[in-house]
Amino acid sequence: MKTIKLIILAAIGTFVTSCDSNTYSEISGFTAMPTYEANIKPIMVAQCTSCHSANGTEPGSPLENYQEVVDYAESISCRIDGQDCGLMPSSGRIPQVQIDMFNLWVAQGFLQQ
Amino acid sequence: MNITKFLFSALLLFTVTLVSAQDDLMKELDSVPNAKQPSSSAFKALQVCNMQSTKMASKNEWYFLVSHRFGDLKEGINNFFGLDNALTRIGGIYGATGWLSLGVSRHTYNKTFELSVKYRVANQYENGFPVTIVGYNTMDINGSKFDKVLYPEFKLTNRLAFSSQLLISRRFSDAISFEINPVYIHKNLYDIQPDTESKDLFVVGLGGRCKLSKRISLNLEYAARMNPKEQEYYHNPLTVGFDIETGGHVFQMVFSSSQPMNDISYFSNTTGKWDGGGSIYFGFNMYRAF
Repeated sequence: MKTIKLIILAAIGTFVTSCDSNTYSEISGFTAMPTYEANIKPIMVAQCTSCHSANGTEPGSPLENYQEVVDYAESISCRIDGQDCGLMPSSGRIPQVQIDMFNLWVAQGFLQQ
Repeated sequence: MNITKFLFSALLLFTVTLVSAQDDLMKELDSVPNAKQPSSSAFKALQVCNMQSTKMASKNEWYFLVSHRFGDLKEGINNFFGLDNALTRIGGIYGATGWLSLGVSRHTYNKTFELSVKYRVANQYENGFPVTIVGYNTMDINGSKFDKVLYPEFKLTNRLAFSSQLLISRRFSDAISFEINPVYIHKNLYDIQPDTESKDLFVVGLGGRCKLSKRISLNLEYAARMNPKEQEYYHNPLTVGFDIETGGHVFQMVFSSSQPMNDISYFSNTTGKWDGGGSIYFGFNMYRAF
């Protein structure tokens, strides 16, 4: 019984030390010229459209295509920042790199392609 | 005539029972009473509120568990006191032996699969060893989709995170129990907001249980992070709960400053707090033993 316990402990110990760590920033991609198709759409699909779509729980504010995202851009900026508006998504703040990229996309005039 | 027959049979049955009962008594006299008995477990449920208690599943016992943490209570009627944004945990625990149990559960938060192993190292004895010591390890597998475009440098090992915990409890009386848990957490992917967390975190969890009546107890737990980053983005979790014993299961109602329920996120990524207008989450744990 004691031996089994030691084996389990050793196995877990090895597991813990054998893995290296990364931050979200390290694994994230960042572009200085973000476009809707290449950069913004993947963020929307990953973070927003599960609710904000015609078949989601927030059909009144869909974010499924370029025009819809442009129309709501100001509100999205405020919501994903969460300082002056209620934070979105409700599951927690999205990675900072993605927030920065969205704001850059807005500042550069909503490049589509 | 019938009555005599009935009485006679009843008498016969009574005598037989009496004789076999005497046999049992004789057996009890023969056996030497055990000098040291392990104390009954310090906690009634497998969790204090959210963190693990030192209670183990019995041998070959299966537990089915469902937990919910509803959304932010302070949003009030807007999200129907949290009903709109509930997190769910669903899972099972199997007692392989009396001292070892294995568990698996799935959490809404980060689509996490949590594998756990819990093993008792020492037991508290009446007039003997003073505390119960249990080891507890969890491995989280983050099941979220990592888009190649958004996360070009993503590796498969980034999905994993680990916690190693030592649960040390003492039952002071029938009504009062305490527990202290040193915890070590290691993450292969961290810092979703820059400079808010480190890859390795030490935590000391404290928990207590106070029986209010035969079926209800009040539980309280708090966890202090020993080496948090300076930025006040995450907070130390504080949870208060009630155990309500029903026939086949223990029902736990909790109010927590953490919405996520997996141990790693609970100890390291609590965003709510009790003071200063922070978020509080209502929820429950339900265990069914088979």
